[in-house]
Amino acid sequence: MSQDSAEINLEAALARATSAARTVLRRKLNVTLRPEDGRTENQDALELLCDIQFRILRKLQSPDRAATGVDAPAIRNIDFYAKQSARNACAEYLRDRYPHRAFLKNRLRRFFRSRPAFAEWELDGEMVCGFAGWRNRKEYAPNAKFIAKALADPASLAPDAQPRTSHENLHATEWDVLLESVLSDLGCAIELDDLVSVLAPRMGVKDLPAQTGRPAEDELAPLEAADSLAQLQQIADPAAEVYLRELLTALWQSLLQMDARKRCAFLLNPPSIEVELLPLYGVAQIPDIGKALALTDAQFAALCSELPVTELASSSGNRQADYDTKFAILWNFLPLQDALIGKLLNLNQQQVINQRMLARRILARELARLLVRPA
Amino acid sequence: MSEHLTPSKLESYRNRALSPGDLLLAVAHLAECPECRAGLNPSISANLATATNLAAIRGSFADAAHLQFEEMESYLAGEAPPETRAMVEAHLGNCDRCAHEVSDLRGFMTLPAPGSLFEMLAVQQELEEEKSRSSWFSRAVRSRAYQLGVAAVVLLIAFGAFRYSPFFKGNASGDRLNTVQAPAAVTVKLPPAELSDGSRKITITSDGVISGLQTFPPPYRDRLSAVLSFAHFDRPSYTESTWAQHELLTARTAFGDSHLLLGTLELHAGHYAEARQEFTALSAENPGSDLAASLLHKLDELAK
Repeated sequence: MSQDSAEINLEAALARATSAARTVLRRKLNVTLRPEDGRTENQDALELLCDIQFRILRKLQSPDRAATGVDAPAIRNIDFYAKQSARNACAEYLRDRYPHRAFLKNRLRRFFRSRPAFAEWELDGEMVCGFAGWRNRKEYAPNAKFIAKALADPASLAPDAQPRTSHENLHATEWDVLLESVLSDLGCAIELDDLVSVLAPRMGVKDLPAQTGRPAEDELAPLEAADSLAQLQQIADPAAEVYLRELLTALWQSLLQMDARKRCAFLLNPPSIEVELLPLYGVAQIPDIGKALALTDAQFAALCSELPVTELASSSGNRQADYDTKFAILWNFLPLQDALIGKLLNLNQQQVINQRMLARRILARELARLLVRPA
Repeated sequence: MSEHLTPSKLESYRNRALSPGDLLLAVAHLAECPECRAGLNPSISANLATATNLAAIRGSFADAAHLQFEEMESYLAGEAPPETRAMVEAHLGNCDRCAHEVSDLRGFMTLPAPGSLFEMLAVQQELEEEKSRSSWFSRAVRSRAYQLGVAAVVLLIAFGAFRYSPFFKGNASGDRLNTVQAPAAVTVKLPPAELSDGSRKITITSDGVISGLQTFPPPYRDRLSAVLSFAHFDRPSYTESTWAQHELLTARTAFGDSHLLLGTLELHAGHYAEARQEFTALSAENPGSDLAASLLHKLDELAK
């Protein structure tokens, strides 16, 4: 394939994925995604969209790496990936901005997961809830009309579907009656987030996103076509490299301060491209990363028996040079599988996953102050 | 700065095919040379490549910053394995937001099951309150403390009535849970009868004592005895209907072979057609049984 046609494909795939992500963002956050809409939520959503687009782009470029078996698997369904990225971004955004809404959502999830007559399940990547008997149904109502009506006119809900008190004060039967009435009113499953949106204002939840009603799909259609690689090229900030180096430096410093198990679990199977970027941006050279791992001869020997390479067991007499060379060989095999990392660390696979998750959480907290896009 | 990397070197770097010596040299050069770095992503500009890298890192940590719902739930339910528990606790020590969410969810985890005695009493109490909302007394009655008090008193009275009833004394040597006294308000006295219901044999003696319900939990036994003695065979109240609807799923799973129980719950849920199906099946299982035929007949009357 020529470079031109590859670029056209990339642009087309990105525009399609952006359109899918937009749909989710608009629906979940009740925003227009119009640049001229100055509401905070809308501007935040535009920033989220920008992040999602970049991540999609990164993924879209991975297939040629995937062919060599050294990078993340290619995206099989770009629309699904875009929608899922948007859903995750929205969920974290709402949780972060509106903690009391998050409390209610947690309670609802617990309710649906613990009551035998009710259930929550995933459908097309969306978390939906309803009566347990509906679980096998393949469709759920987008509920746009129901939600718009319920938000605009609380009296439109059946009397039993109107909570009389805050969610902190409802007792078990009231939860049952309330949710049964809402679901009976609907007659079909509903997205969990939509249910939260309908109930929250009636249950004393104060911190709520502004509800402005949803823009019609066709009203916004012309905007979809405007998203393209060329536009992203314009958005890409030349100062971003400085920021990226800063971010990577903070990440590397945090990694060095971590205990060895977490550090190894993270560095040997990083969740994304962080480790790969460390040497590329001069933050830590490959030998530095090797030193931070401090692998023993026995660990190299264990790796040698699992990986298709024999040099890891050889020795030339120069201990440091040997170590750097062995690690450079190992570098080409990263990321390692968790089971193999477990053998090196005397942990089971789940413990490795947990150690890495702990490492990610520590890093996420450390980086939180830097993870704000510079003005 | 060393010489730029050739396209084939860049390709080998991308494919992780460089020898250790070449790899270290290539990386040292890439760290200093934006031009060659841009060559790693030939289809996009260097700025765009940087921006995508930034977004990938932001995205990579966005979902790791806080506990997921499933982690909080399994931790609070005591179902998390030790490593996960340790991980959650370590995180909670450092994250106010998750600590607040866990604290809020903790109170909700112990929400009693619907249909429990306390819940039924609380609902009953509330229905009665509706009738007398205008008085100052009703406001006091609405308090949780009052509801708890009422629940406790009713439990005591119920226990006392049961403990000192002739039924309790008369069955002291037997398994009292195996037999259920029909409620006192029985107006239709049935002749002694026997019913086959799946693997169970249910009998009603001439004294109106029903036995054979021991495989059912107590709330079901009460309902079945009320239906079998026709003491409670009318349109369900809202609370009953709600309870029965919730219980149907559980009952179908646990007692799928009991047409009597499923018919009773369908009846109490207000699902007459479904109740009819179950009672018809019960009749087929008990050909010639007057009791089974009476249940069907009574149901048809009610459905009209």
